[in-house]
Amino acid sequence: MNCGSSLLQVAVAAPLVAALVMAFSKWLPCAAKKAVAGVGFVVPALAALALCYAFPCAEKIGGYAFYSSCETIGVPSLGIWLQFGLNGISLPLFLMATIVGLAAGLRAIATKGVAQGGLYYAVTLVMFGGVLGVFSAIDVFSFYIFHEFALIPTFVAILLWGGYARKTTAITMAIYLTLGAMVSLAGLFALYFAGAGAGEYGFSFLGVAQAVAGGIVLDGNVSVIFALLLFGFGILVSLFPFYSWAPDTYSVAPTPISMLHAGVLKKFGLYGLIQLGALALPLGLADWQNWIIWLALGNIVLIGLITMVQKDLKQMVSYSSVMHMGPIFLGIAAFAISGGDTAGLGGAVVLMFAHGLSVALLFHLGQSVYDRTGTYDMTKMGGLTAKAPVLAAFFVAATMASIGLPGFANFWGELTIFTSLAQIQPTWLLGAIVLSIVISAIYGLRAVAKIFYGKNTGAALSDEAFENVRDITTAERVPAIVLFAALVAVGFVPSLITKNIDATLKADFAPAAKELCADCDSVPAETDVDTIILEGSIPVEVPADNCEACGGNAEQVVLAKNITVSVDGAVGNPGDFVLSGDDATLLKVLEQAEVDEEATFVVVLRVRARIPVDIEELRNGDVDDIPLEDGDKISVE
Amino acid sequence: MFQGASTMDSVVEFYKAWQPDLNTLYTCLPEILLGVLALLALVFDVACKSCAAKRAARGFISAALVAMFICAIGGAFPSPAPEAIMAPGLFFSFGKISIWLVLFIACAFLAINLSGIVRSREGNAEISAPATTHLILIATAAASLLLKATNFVAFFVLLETLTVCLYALVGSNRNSAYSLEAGVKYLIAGGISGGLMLFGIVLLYGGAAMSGAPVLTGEPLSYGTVFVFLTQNPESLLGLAGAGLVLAGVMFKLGVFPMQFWIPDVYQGAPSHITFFLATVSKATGFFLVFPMLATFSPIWGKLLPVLLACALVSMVYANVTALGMRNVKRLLGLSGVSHAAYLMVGVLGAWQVTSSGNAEMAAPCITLVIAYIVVYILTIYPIFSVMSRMPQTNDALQNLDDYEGLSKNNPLLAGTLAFGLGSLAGIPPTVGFIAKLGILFVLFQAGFYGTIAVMLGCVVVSIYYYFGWFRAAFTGGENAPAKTYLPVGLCSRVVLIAFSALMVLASLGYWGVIRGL
Repeated sequence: MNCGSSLLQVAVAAPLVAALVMAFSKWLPCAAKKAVAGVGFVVPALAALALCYAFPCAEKIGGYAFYSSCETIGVPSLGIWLQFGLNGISLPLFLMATIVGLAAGLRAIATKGVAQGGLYYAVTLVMFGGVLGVFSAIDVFSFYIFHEFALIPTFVAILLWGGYARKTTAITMAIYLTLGAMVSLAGLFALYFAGAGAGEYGFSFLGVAQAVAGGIVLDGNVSVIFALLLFGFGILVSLFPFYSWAPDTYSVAPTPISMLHAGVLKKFGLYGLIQLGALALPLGLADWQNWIIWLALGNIVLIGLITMVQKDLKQMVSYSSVMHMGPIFLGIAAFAISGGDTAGLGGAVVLMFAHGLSVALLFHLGQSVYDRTGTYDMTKMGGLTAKAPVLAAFFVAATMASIGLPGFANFWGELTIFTSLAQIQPTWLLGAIVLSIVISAIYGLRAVAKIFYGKNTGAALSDEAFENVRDITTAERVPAIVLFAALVAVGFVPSLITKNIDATLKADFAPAAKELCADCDSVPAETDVDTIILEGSIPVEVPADNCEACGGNAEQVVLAKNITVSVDGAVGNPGDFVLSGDDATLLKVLEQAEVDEEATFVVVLRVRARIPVDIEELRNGDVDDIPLEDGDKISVE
Repeated sequence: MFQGASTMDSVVEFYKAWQPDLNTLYTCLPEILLGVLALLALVFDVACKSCAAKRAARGFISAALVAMFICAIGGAFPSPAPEAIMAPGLFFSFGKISIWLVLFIACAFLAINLSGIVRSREGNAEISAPATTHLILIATAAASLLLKATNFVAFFVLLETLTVCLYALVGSNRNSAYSLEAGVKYLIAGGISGGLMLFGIVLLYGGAAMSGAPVLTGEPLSYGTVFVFLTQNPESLLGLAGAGLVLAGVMFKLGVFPMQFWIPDVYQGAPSHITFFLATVSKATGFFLVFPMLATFSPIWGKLLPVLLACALVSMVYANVTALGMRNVKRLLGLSGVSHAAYLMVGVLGAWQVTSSGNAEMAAPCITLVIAYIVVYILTIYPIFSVMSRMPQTNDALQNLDDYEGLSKNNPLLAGTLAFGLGSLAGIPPTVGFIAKLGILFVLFQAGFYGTIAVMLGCVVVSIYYYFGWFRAAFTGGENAPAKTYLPVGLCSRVVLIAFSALMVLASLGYWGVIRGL
């Protein structure tokens, strides 16, 4: 246990401890409550920045830095125990969670006139602790439990401080999310029992990655397991058509809860799909890739159209957050579509990071608009720029970010995903998908126009009241600046996060990519475009002519190391042979094994192939000598 | 004509066989102690006239129960040798501790304490304190001894002792029409189930006799005899029918379809502490009895499995769907109990499937996981009953979800306790109820019951509606209603309720420890 892993544990524990202090809120003065809650929100953010800084040089186990484990919680013999750590994929998401949590926390603290303030802070803090746990726990059961951990706070927050129809919405959300959680739990169990958790690190992301790297063959129906994960996580991520809980929940929930849920907690499912689904079950992903394309298209086009007609600002932002899940799903599917190119996955992670920040910013600013106008109905507003120019500027920037304009982090995510989808058939589908940008622009800019430009309609604010509208206060400005700064920083210097994502994807997903590449006949995607634009900051290092698994230039790789093959049948010297370099061909092996005179026929057995060869023809050079691979079984008859 | 000598011999033999030796008596030490305590409760009632003396007597009995609990946990009581019970490996005693004894003593203690709260409610004064204490202790002793029985005579007699005590307890509130009605209903339903079970036992006995098995020279009604009979005649229709009827009697106690029909009415009518007793000791007895029964009937396991699994699935779906429209909380808890009994049942079947498929390595952990589920269930429902018995209604049979509105404003402690309890019943992390459900799922996956898993997960989703509906009632409303007067929560009860709520979270950690200990 080193300093970094302690810092990570402190970051997760801080909000939970602060929430525990709130149990005594009856005896605490208001200022003390706010101070304690503030500490609970600020500490993780600072810790995350420090961890980000330390990550590149930190000692890593299988790509996971700051590793720590607690075997008391769990059963090591069953492969389940609490483990913490961050890799290149979870690090940016963890950072995003702390930033959004900080903004949401400041928003919660600044909210005036909340009934049962102590409980309000406690609920937000517990939820914050839950989302931090989701992205920092690397054993799968803790990852799952931390997500569920956040369900009850969401329920209580909607029930006690929600808006219109809060009782119905709270129950609907609880049932819907439990359904998703149960289906994904079944999927996780199926994955566990298929043997993904047998290694040194148990059933953790790390353990699964190592098992995959070790060439484990899952003992189960890969397609069914992936389907359980896809639809279970899909419900939690509001994949079309399982989205109907999301808009209501977000628009009814108090704003800090909406920010945390739409921004961070929802990414749980996508994160799980990447770290488990795509990693361990690439063939399952390939089986379901068309489903994902069509359902994500539903998210983008159908939900996009629904978003366009929303008159209620908070509903519009809620629907837009459902809509933006579409491209992220496509980024995951692109891994299979492109035959093992990890660029799409990288784009998905970047977009998750960016969307979390931008949607939280929109919810935050929407609440500020509401505080000034007393309504979310956009048709009743107008002309706010005159009175609140800074608010207007932030809002326009947030809208631009969510559209995906260059200069914001969203741009890199969407661009990478769309380019990696280049192989998608039929081609017009890609066009439909790229529509998402146009649709976002339509509703986003229209909202800006209705709220901030034109003249005050007088429906929400009388002219007199309009005159008294103030620009945003410092308490509102700080969270907005924090979120905005993160968006712009990554927008201009994407390598801040993409370097780590790149490294992890390259290291962990190579076996999965290999499997996909061996499975499909297509050539890997043409990815030069990305390389040029991103200057190597996004993983695109699988050129078509050098794919290890396609067998194209397989010798180069194979010759570089020793391989082991076994020979049996009609030979004088059967058994295992360790070969190196130029010796790794069938003819050489047969010489070493002293083939019997009578033998006429030899078969090379591989995981995916059976190569029969006539020995006579082989010796005469009528057929080409066969380059051998590790693990080949040679049977002489 | 007159075969005096030989008849006399056989009578003597018979009595000799029934002479309990010291060893057997020693094995029954905890049950004997419980019986003595039960008698003391009656003696104290006559002997102690003053209020202070009565309080001292109550304190003595509570202290004695606590002492027994500590002894049971410490393994001071003798635990029957595994081969005496015939269930392979006697899985439900952890080392020297009989887990059921610990549970039963704890439940009896809690039920007796709850009865004090229930009796302080206006309209419940008719419930006799010494009689309640006496009957609860007798029922507990019978239930505990029942699990040490090795033949069907003792099995039937002890099960009926338990049931007869419960008849009286369910109807013990003579002022309440609901309680009396429930008592009669339980009497009839229990009579039917007892009759069916006796019929089953007779069929097994007759079947064994007709097959002419040589084992009859020993104990004709021991589990072992029936086991040998079924092993030799796995196709026997008599054996199958007998086994089915005996299991129906066990399922009546557990509350699984088709013997679940009595539960909502009886749970509603019985005084709250008796409902708690029914939901814990009575249900747990049914649960623990399934193991020796399955061991005895293991030769026909292949035929029993589909029937039992179907029963469990039907009760799971039935209970959860019926509970959706329930407003009365005691009926709701009854139906929730049926669904939890069904989860337990599928867990037992899964564990037994793992055992009988020869996967010895996983068998013990699987059975432990299922037993842990009932421990967690009991741990979870005590705080809920504790909150229920403190609600302001005079008649606790008529408690509705609407009555809970405003609870969090008026009494945050009770609302918080209820929230933890309901969260754990629904199986939401980080409560221990979630980990327990995870354990059942683990067992089912190990057994390969994939369809059952799908049904169970679906039922868990459905159950969210009524558990969270209750939760919602407790946490909203009450803005305009006048403040209600809840029964007072003393300092001691406060500590207990907070401890239980904390335990609901912390037990998740202890849970891992128990599994790892295997």
